[in-house]
Amino acid sequence: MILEIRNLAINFGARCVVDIEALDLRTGEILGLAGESGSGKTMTALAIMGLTATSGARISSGSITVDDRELVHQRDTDLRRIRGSQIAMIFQAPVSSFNPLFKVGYIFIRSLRLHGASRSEARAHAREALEEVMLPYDMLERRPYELSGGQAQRLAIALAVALRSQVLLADEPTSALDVSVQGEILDLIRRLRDRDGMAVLFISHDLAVVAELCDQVAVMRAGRIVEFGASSQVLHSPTNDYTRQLVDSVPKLGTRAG
Amino acid sequence: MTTLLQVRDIVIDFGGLRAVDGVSLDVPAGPFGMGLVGESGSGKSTIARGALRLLPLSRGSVMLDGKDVRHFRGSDLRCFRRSVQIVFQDPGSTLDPRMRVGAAIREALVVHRMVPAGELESRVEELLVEVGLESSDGPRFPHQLSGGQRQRVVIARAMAVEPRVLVLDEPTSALDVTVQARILRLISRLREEHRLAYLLISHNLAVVQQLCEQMAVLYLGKVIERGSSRAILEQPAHPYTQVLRSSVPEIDLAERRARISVPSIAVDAAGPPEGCRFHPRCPLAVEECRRIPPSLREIDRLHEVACHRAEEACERFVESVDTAV
Amino acid sequence: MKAPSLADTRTRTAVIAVRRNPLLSAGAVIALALVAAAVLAPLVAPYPQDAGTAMHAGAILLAPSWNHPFGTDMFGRDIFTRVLYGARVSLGITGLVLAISVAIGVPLGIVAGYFGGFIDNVIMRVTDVFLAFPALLLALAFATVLGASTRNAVLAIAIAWWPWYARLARGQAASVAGRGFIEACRALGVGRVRMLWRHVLPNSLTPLIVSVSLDAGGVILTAAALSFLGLGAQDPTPEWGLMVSQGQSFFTTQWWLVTFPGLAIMLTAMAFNLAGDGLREILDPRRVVTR
Repeated sequence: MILEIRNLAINFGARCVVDIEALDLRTGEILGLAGESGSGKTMTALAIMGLTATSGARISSGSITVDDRELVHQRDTDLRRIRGSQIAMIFQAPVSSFNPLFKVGYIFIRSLRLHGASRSEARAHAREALEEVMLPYDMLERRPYELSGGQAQRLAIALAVALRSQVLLADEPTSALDVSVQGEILDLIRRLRDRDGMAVLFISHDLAVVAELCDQVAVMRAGRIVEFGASSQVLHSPTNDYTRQLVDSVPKLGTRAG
Repeated sequence: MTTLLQVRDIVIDFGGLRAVDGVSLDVPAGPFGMGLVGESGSGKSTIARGALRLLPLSRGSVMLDGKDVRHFRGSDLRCFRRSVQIVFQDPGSTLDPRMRVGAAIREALVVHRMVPAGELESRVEELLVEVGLESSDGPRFPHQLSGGQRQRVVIARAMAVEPRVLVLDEPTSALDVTVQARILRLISRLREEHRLAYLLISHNLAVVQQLCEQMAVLYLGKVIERGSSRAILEQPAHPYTQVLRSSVPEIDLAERRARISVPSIAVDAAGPPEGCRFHPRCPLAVEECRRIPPSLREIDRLHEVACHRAEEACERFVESVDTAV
Repeated sequence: MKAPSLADTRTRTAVIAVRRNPLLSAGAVIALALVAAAVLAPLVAPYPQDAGTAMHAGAILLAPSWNHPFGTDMFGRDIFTRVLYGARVSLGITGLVLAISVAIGVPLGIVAGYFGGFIDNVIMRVTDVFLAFPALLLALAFATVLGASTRNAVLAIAIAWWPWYARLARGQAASVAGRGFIEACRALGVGRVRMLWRHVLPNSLTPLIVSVSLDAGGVILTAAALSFLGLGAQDPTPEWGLMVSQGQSFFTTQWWLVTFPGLAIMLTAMAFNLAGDGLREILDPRRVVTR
């Protein structure tokens, strides 16, 4: 068990936006957090990273442990060491995740060095990581706006790989990408799990993607988990009405289409 | 089937690139759904704007009822705008943030003089209710409504002028999945009730299959496959369509298939490749593909494809389905 | 349930905004007090006749006292009265200047920004010529040419000021012109006039209104400067800048001649600056509170 969430309550002003009793993530597992906008899934990920304050929300109670280490209410200086190196996060708009003023290589190497690598170590890790995600090394010479969505997302994943992150939080990583590119990113995530045992928390409103990629899925609604289980189980034979409504709403392709 | 809207060999240059390079489409009189599928860079949104005269055409023509709309001015142009309406992807930016939604719908009625002044308010209310909103939503501002509600307002505004053709550019991509389902149902209902013809642009193959009898697949500004949606999605003939088809994630295990993967290539500012535009990524590419651009040819009833090796591609596809996970 | 009118919700937002930010509240209060002073001057001022050509030989240069809270000037006129009446003059000048500059600059800017191309070029080049000079310098030049008087001061400042609004409006209009809803309106068949009046202008207004309220301070200072230099209001008009100018030579011994009008200028400029900030918050429809 690499990530454990217990009795997490997050408030936005007086309103409770997340209320999770329990959520566990194992090494080498891909857990899907599915739900619509406002369900609290992104806020949960931000809480794990200790970034709730940026949206004005507050963790009012509960515990989040990564590798048996408590994260809630830690000092920012301590959290900064964990962010990126133990837990990495990738976002929906990958190109905007990079500062447009710098070459991506600068951001990449600098991030590695911030977590303790020497310059040559950083370059070596970067090379390995880029190979892993199948990007050419000279991609580091580009600026963020010169990258396509798919390339930028791979780069973000490469950073997680280079930092040897144990947990990857992926917040709608493929929602803004073309469907063919999406497939590649999903393959990449699967490969990382298989090869490095990376644990992935995959947040998405796209149930079909969750069904294909994730081993387990937690369906969220209004801050709570309404259903949890193996994705094949939950999405094929949902027991909860809301889950069923979600699954029914997904337009389906089928050879026997009407 | 009389053709209502005809797009003939249009070429559109946009941002220094040839975004659309010789695309032809026919939208027959309603009720009918024509789908336009493509990924980013395919030119699908550019075609929508070109068809509505929001962008100039470098070549080719758009014809409504057989008349070229390019030279329409004044009342002819207004008539055209009434007949062909568009719903854009992001309802948040499509509505004037300083205008109440009821006023936005009223504007449509006023500009085209749809009803006498005394009946404006009641007509606005009727339209709001028709798209599934409350009449009390009229005085609200766009930011006070949810994404789905905003999109309904946009649809109401478009329907207010009683168009014959509705172009929908990714109408549900920005919405939650349950909201999406409801909006698609609304579009379906409007189609039946108003005998509407629509051109539905989407990257989502399932949505296109659900709502459109026919579809066209775009790649880098050209139509590479066209015909009956069912035929194309059951048996895609072009390797690119096959990639798209196999990449669609499925909840239903039985429908899953092995994903056909092709190398991704960044868009080259110098322009598309010589010959077939897909050849640098195509697993079946041969010398002919590198030199000669393929044109659309019939491969089956109501199924055209622009590929030199479509027959081989079809065989391969059938094999991939059989050996699917 | 009927949705609240925009006026109701705006009032409520205004009240909340004012309560939340004390500095803004202070600015708003002072600005309102000044307007009140201007309006009520004839009723509140202890010696209304001193606002004009009065002369009290026996009361020259009296220090501040109960009878004369701000003292008297070199003609024996009550300075408190003159400062109150001066509010009228200053606010009057400011109001007129802003009204004229906006009336000239905004339409030109909106048209330039929305249509772009040749029209934009022509209008902007004319604007550039004016903008090449500092506003005060330009106002001085025009005031010199037109002759010194309150009316000419208004014209001179307005001529110097309108290009700023033209440029601001143009930037706004150009940015609005690229937004999705403008394209959607075009697709709907909305004509050009309607587009400008109903869509481009309202969406370009917020920064303009903020700018105008912030500028009020600047205009007051410019008017005071012109009068100080003798190019604006003339005696006996109780204009604050003029009063400061007249009190210059007495500064070391009779400090009240310069200080109170000077404070009035400073407070007014500051108040309008603060109020302008608050106005921006209130005006954005996205911030309208509905519950």
